[in-house]
Amino acid sequence: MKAEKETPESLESVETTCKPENGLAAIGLDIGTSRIVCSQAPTEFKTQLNAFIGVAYSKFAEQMLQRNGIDFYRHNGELFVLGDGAEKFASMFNHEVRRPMSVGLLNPGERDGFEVIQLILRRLLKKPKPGGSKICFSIPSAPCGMETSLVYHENMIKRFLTELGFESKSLNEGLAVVFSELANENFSGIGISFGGGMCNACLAYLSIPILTFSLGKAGDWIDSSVSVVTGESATRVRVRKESALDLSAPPSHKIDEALHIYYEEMILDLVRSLTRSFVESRNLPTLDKPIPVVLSGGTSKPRGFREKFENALRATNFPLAISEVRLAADPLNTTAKGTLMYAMYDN
Amino acid sequence: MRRFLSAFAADHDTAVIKPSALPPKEISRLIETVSLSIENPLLKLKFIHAALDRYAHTCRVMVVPSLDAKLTKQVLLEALDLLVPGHRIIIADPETALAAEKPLRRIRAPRLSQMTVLIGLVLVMSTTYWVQARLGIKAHNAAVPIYRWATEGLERKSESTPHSSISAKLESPADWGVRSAKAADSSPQATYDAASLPEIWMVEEKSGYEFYSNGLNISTEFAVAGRPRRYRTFDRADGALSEIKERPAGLLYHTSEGDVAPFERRFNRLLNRRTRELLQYIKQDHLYHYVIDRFGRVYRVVNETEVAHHAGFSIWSDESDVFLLLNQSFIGICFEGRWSESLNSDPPDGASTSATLRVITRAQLEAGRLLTDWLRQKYHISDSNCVTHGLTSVNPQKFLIGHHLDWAKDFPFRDLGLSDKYQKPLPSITEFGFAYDDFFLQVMGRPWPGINLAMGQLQARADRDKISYETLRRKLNRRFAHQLAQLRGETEGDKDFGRADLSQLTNALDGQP
Repeated sequence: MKAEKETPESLESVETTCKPENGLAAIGLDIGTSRIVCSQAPTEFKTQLNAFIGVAYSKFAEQMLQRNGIDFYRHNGELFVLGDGAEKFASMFNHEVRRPMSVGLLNPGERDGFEVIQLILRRLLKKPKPGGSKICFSIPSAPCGMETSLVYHENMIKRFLTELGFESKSLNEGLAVVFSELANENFSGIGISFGGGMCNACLAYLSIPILTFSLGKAGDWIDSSVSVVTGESATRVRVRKESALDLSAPPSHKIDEALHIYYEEMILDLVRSLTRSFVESRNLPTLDKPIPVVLSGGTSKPRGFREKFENALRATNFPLAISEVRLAADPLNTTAKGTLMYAMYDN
Repeated sequence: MRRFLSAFAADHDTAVIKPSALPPKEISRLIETVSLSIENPLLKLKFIHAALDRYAHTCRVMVVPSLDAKLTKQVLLEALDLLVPGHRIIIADPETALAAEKPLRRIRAPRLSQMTVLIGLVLVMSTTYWVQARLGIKAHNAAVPIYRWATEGLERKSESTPHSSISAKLESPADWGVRSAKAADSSPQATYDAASLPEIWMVEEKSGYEFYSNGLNISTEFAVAGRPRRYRTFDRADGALSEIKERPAGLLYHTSEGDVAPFERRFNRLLNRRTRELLQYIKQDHLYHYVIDRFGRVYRVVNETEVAHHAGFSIWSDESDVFLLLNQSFIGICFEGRWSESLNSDPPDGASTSATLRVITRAQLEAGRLLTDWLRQKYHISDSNCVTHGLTSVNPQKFLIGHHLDWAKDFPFRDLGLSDKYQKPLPSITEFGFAYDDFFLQVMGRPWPGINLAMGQLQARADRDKISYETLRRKLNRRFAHQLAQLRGETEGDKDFGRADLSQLTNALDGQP
């Protein structure tokens, strides 16, 4: 399905990508289930919620969106509200946003999903310079049995970026965390991204990925689970989670209580699965010193998350000695920073 | 990303790298050590990938399962070179330089701050001009034992207990006496007095070489002028300081502990290049008097009547004199090779030619004999003063032997017409109460017979004086500090005094119970 040319920002209108002084322009892209983050400099990030909401077209709805400054476009008789605007709109009308991606990959149940991703990417990306811009985008580790879906997901994005004129390559999300956060440790350690759709982990030694792992249970799972037991919409749960949750303090609210429970469950599940995966792996190198674990991603942001995770990790017989568990400096942008680094690699 | 990550790039999750495909630990550690010094994350990532890539490439080209540590430096240089194409970059690392000057010196860890600054400078500056390398092959060669020893948990712990007295580890004199006798029986060569040899004279001297009647050919291409010898010794009986002496009193044998290419025809160019780099470095810092390369070519670097900086803190004695700081009194002869290669060989018995030939080539052995004969005859050097660096090197702050360990075993004394000094009571113990520690045992496996013999003598002396072994040891330690202080004024130009404040010795002694 092709979108009608009613996008508020056509590709031709976007500004031209800045080119570094030397070499090609480089862009890092974190295409997550929850958010898409674009980075063109280590401290310069642009982000949009990877979500949309469709409302039946009416003059009234169109005017209302315009009045509230919400980006939208008209698509097959519907008004699609994209990115951050979708959340605002959903919150206003107690609707659920629709997700172009699910469990880290293109959502097969969302027929307009990829179209939406393209539109969001067009908003975030600057037009490539003649001569080419390098772009690196993140991809998850394929959940068990979904390897072919990953191939499809990766190639669809790559094809689109190529159409836009970028020279693109992909990078595992866990490894992107390692690239971003473990430079001081010579890129040796475990990077974990707690995203919306899944958790991605990568054990790297000297930047070489030794073992990657993913768990299809992350922020969205927490939101939907809490939503089911509390009767609140998942969107509201997410807003609450991102704004007020403190895992280090006893819960004072019904939603918080449920969030505590599901956070703990997710952490335990991840630690158990990670431990099992590492124990069963024949690929573990013999490391002669403890390695760090870095946590990143929106789901890792609540206060007390790091401590909870560390306690859970240290309570298991994890097969590798861990020196520290730390939170990434900028958890929401860590993956994008890692992909940017990889994009700049060939410059 | 190149070969190492190409599999990853092609198939992100199923084709992660197997640990077996990673470089050996030693190489990984060296890569880590260097990359820790690079602050820019992107440069660091590029360096690591380039180093791994060069490693993989070299392994493939050379059809070997893993890259020998000998080629590690080359791999790293090439990796750095990839970052700045068209420029040759050589790591200027003061720590490895120091270690090069002091082969097999025990170093806890490289000084990363220094490396950071220097490598950073190299990386930046090399984009505009060639970096003049300070180090030759020996400097980076020494890096191998440094990081190996520093990172495999073998480094000396400050709290490690010196093995200073006779313990269960000490074999009975009868035991090692038997072994010593066996070793002597199997000796392929008899010990002889150089004076008894037919006269050795210079047959020809031309620009660049000297030829002697025993077949010794000395290249003088790398010869450099140095500082004249002036030293004093201590009378072994009463500790009296001697008059100033200028004639070399002994020979001290070393190994370069550098990267040595495999001794095969196909590495001929590399072998030659390494030797020249080594010689350049030795010349620059006046490190040895003579170097014997892998083909048995003998090079004079520092004239034997001048001082070379080869011995560091070192102790030896003959029948009458005690020598401290052998730079001043001994001639340094360096065999290009890696003594550490023999660490896993047989226990030291001083007579194992096969073990020796793991360190040096037969041509070096022959050349070593010719050079030894000539020097001994020329300077009337007694057999008792022909010894190895590993037997003489000490740590003066901790009163420990084996600070450097090159030729601490497997030196072919008998092949060079010398008596086996591994069987001789170690002067640093008998004269000054030095000891060894756990680290020494970890490296050496067990002490050589002369150590046990020396400790036995010391114990007998303590019994005779009716004092404890430790008390006697402390007394002798103080004697060492005192004698060293006496020499200070005599050896003003010696680098070793620059590195060790004598007050540290006093503190060390004061800290003793």
